[in-house]
Formats: sequence, C-alpha cells, structure tokens
Amino acid sequence: MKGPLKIKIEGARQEALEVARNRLMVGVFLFGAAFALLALRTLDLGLFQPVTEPRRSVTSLKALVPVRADIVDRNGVVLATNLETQSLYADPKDILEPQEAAKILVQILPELSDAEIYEKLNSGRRFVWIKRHLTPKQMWQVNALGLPGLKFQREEKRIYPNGSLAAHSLGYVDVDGKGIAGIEHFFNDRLNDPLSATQPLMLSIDVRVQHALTDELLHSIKKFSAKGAAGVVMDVRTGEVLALASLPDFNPNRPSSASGNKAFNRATKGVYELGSIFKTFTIAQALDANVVSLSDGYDATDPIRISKFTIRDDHPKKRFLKIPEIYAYSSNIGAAKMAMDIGPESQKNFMASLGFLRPATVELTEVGYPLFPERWGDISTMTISYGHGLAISPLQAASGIGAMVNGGNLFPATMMAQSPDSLPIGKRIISEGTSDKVRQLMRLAVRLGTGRNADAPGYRVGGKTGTAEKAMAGGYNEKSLISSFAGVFPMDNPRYVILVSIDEPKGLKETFNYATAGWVAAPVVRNVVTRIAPLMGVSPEMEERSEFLQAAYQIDPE
Amino acid sequence: MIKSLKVIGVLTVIAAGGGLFQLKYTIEATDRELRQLQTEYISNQKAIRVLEAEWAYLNSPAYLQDLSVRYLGLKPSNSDQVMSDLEKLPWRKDLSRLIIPQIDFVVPSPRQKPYFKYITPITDYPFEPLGSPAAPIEVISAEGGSK
Repeated sequence: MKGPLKIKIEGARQEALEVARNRLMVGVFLFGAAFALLALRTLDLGLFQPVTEPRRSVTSLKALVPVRADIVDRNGVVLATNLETQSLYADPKDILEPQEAAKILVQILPELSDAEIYEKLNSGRRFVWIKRHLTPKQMWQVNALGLPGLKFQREEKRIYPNGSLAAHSLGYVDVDGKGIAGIEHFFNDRLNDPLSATQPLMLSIDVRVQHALTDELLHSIKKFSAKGAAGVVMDVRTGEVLALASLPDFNPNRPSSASGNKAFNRATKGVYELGSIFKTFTIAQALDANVVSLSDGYDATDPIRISKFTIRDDHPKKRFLKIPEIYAYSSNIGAAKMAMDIGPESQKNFMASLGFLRPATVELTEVGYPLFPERWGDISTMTISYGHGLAISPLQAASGIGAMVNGGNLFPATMMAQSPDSLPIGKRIISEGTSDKVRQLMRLAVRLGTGRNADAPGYRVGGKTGTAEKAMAGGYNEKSLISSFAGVFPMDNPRYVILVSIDEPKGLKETFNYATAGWVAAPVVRNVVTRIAPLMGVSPEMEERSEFLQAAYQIDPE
Repeated sequence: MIKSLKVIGVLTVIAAGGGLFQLKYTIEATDRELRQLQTEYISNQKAIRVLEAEWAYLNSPAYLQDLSVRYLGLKPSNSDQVMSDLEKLPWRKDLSRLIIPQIDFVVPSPRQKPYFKYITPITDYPFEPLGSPAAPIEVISAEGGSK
C-alpha cells in the first residue's frame, strides 16, 4: 500500500495530542480567516473600490482669480489689469541693527530716505510697511541681503499698459486697489466682486480712436499754445463713446500725477459755453416746429440792441440771410431772431429734452452740472440760441449733435460696449425729415461755410464751428476763447460725431492771428476723421451732390 | 489538491499585496504629477496675465506710433490711398478679361503711384480703348514718399 504512512498512537497520549491539535486548528482557523479577510480587502481595494481623491482641495487655484477684474476696450485690448507684486514689510523686533539695515535698504530702494526707514525699523511695532509693490529685481536684491525681520507680502498692483491713454475714462486706484476716479470708481463694486472678477469689464472705448484723438489734440495744444483741450468721439447710433480725451492728462500708473488741473475731466466734468455749435439746435428746433423753413431767412443787417447788450455777427454780411446762410456763416443775429420766434419756454423745453439741464447720465462719477439762467428770459433765449448763457459738457453736446443727425433720436452717452443684438432705443427729439435737413446744413457749413478746414476729402464731413469767449468776472474776455468744433461723418449716413474743444488757443501767423474754431478746432476734426475713418470701415467715396444741394441752393456765396 | 489550493492562495495573497503597493505608488506618483501640473498651470496662468499686459503695452498706439516715426518712413494714409472697390482702380485695362474678386474691405494703396516704363510708348494713355492688346509694361519702382 502506497501513500503516506499512517501512524496511530493509542491511548491517553493520543488523546492529549488530539486535543492539542484541535486547539491549534482553532488558532490556525482564526489566523487563516484574518488573512483571508485581508486578502479580500486587498482585492476589494485594488479592484473594486473607486479611487477617490479625498485630500487637498485645489485651494491654490483660487490664487488665479484676480482681486480686481480687468478692464478692456471694445476690441478686447487690455486697458487695466492686475499683476502680482511683492511688498516689503518688516518686523522691527527681529531687526538686529536698524541703522545698518536702513543704510543698505536705501541703496536698493533709492526713492526712500535713510532716516525714514530707520525710524520705521526702530519704532518697536511688530509690523511696518517699508515699500509697497517692489519690482522683481528689487525683491531679489532685498532677499539676497538675508536680513532677518524683512518679509514679503504678495499683493496685486493695478497696471495700465497704455499709460495715460484714456486716463480720464479709466480713472485710477489707490494703493489698496480701491477705485478713486473714472470707471474704476463708478464700477468699483463690480470690479472687486469675486464672482465677476474673471469677467473683464468691456468699455466702448477703442484705443486706436482714442489715440488718434488724443494725439491730434496734443498736437493742436502745442501748436496754438493752448491751456487744455477736450474731445469726444461717439457712435451716433448707440451713444457709445469711442474716445474721450481731456488734456492735460495724467498717468494712472502713478496716481500722484493725477493732481489739480490734470485730474479734471474737461470732457464730462467741465461745462463750457460752446458757442455757435448751439445754432444747430436752434435751427433744428425751428425747422422741426415749422417756425421756419429752409428757404426762409432773417435780416442780419444791423446788430440787435436789447437793454445793455448788443448782439453782433462775427462774420458780418450786413444783409438779409436765408436759414442755410445763417448756419453756414454763423450769424448770431439770425439765430437770435429765430430763437425769439421759437419762444423762451419752448427753447427751454427743447434743451431739457436734449438733457442739457441736468448732468450727463454717463457711467462716470465726474459729471458736471450744466449752468443755465434761473430766469429764462428774452435775453437768455437770444444768447443761448448761439451758445452763450448755457454751459454744458462737451460729452452732452456730442450726444445732442448725434441726435440732430442720426434721424432725430437721442441716445444717452455710454462708456459700456453695447451688444449689437440689443441696441439701445433712443428718445425721439426731432423728426427724421428735420434731421435730414440738419445734415445738409452741417455738410454745407463745412463745404462753403466757417468749417472748411474740417473737410477731410472723401469722408463727407459735416459740422459746425463754435467760438466762445470765456466768461470772466464782469463779462466776457475777448482774448481768451474756447474754440470748438462738432463734426459728423460720413454725412450721407452718419456714423460718428467728433466734438473737440480747445481752451485758450493763441493765434498764429499762419492762421492770420485767428484762434477761432474754424482755424483751431476744425483741422483737428479733419485729421481725426482721416485717421479713424479707415479703422472704422468708412470708405472714402465721391459725394452725392444732392446731399447738401437742397440747402446749398439757398446760399449766396458772393 | 489542498496543497495546490494553498499555493494558489499564497500566490494570490502575495500578488494582491504587491498589486496594492504598486497601486499606491502609482497613485502617489500621479498625485505628485497632478500637483506639479497644477503648480505649472498656475504659474503659466500668471505668466499669461503678465504677457497680456506686456502685449497691450507693446501694442499701445502711442508706442507703435513712436517706433513708426523713428524707424519707418510711413505717414498717415490719405483718403485717395484707400480704395473701397477694385473696380475703381485707376489705369485699369480690359475689365472683361479679369475676374474681379468680391471684397468688402478697404484696400490701402501706395501714396505715390507706381512709375511705369512703357517699352512701346502709348500716346493716348490712359484712355486707351478697352479690348486692345495690353502693352507690355515693366514696373521700375514703386517707392513710397511724400506727395
């Protein structure tokens, strides 16, 4: 018989062994069960349990959400963004030799003074800022010193890559990232809201148009030694502001440069008597209310004397003038007589409907209150008809001119890019027919009238000059002028209104010592149109002469 | 039978244990990789923000204008240099033989018109009747410059 040899042990010995073996088996079984459990659990873990990631939520990704949302222009060009910087602070208790440390730090941070740092390091407090927003190089240098007690704090700094471009629209922030002026101030809560921080705020500004406007205004200021200038480029169909300039300006990267005169937004905060540009509104209202027609006219032979005032023409023709002539030759007498036919009450209502009697409703904090006479009498009516006595901001004037040429609808000025799907609905001011006539008149004033210097060939510019004497204590100062021009192009299908205002230009030999709008402001508009029209997709074309012929028919060029 | 079962059992246990450790290490490695990728992602995102700001700075119109004035002889374009329609190109000859592409953008043209040297001089140029054989022309220069 093959197989394992079987031994049988008999008797009590066998019984004891049997018991021991049985007991041993219990242990073996228990251990076996335990190991089986482990094996099963291992298999279970390896094969069936889903691999979960219980630890460490991705908190560090939060660092990516900027503290403050970016601001971009209508094409997505960054106007303001936040960049990470390091700020240097000190725990003076840990500083071993304040005197020595201050000496070394000044070498790295030359804009600080030795004594100032020493005072901070010796103050005995536990936390003092040495300098906010170090450059990476400075940070590296300070770090390389290895001085105990100097520490860095990660912070964010607002950067404006375009420098002073559109500074007055953007405004600036303080060292803690709080908006102080402009869009930064108006939309401070929206920009700081963590929920919308990744979503940039899109403005209606176009940096290219903004630069063209600023550049031309700067050139004009330099050429005519002017004190300042303001300019607005606006889309007449939506009220979107494509460019808003106020000079002199500041660099929002250095908030300290925004002081006094430089921080003042002439385009929205400043209110000016814009002069003859207002004749556009006077004639538009008269035509719309059927007070006059294009073929009517007024006698402008003699100046008007009313109480102490005398109303004269700057370009006197001393004869009967038809309505287009009153506009093209900018006759104060004609406009004043027309306004009297309209009546004070009606004129005031018209100005109110254009929004000229309250601040502009634009998304900026810096909006100026218009100045107008409390008692709107006959004299006020006459002077306001040619732009004296009612002071509004250039931005408001641009909106108003837009409403005169776009078919008669007023769109409130806006700094926000409008979606092309939901264009704003304007408020009707004048009829479409009247708007057509105003367009002809404005084109006429550029072709044959005072605004000839604004004619950019091919782009069908229309517009109106406005030269106003500055109001001084006790009357007007003949020497200090505000020369403005309201231009619109292309006149056959108006797209953009450009309003520029130049403060106290001085006449030059080449302008025959004139500093009037036709010599100063009109060329700025021409240059701006020539620069921006190709950008905005307005192509130069031969003019349909019928565009302004109806009005031109009435004119006697002599 | 029992013995082979035991062997299988032991092998399974060893394999399961080994597998578990292998799994653990793989997971740890993946986790490290994930963390590294996240760090990289964050620093890349930060770099993108910086680069976007720099891009905006380098493309700011004032800066470009400065460079252009300094290094290029370009001047602002005039309206007579912009064409809205290829049909309006001057000196265009037999139009019927040309396929004119439909364009809806403006085409810049040089400030100074190209100077052509005619090998066979044409006296009644540019009012040559359409359809006559085009004279061979040779472009000598098309230099820019002021008007």
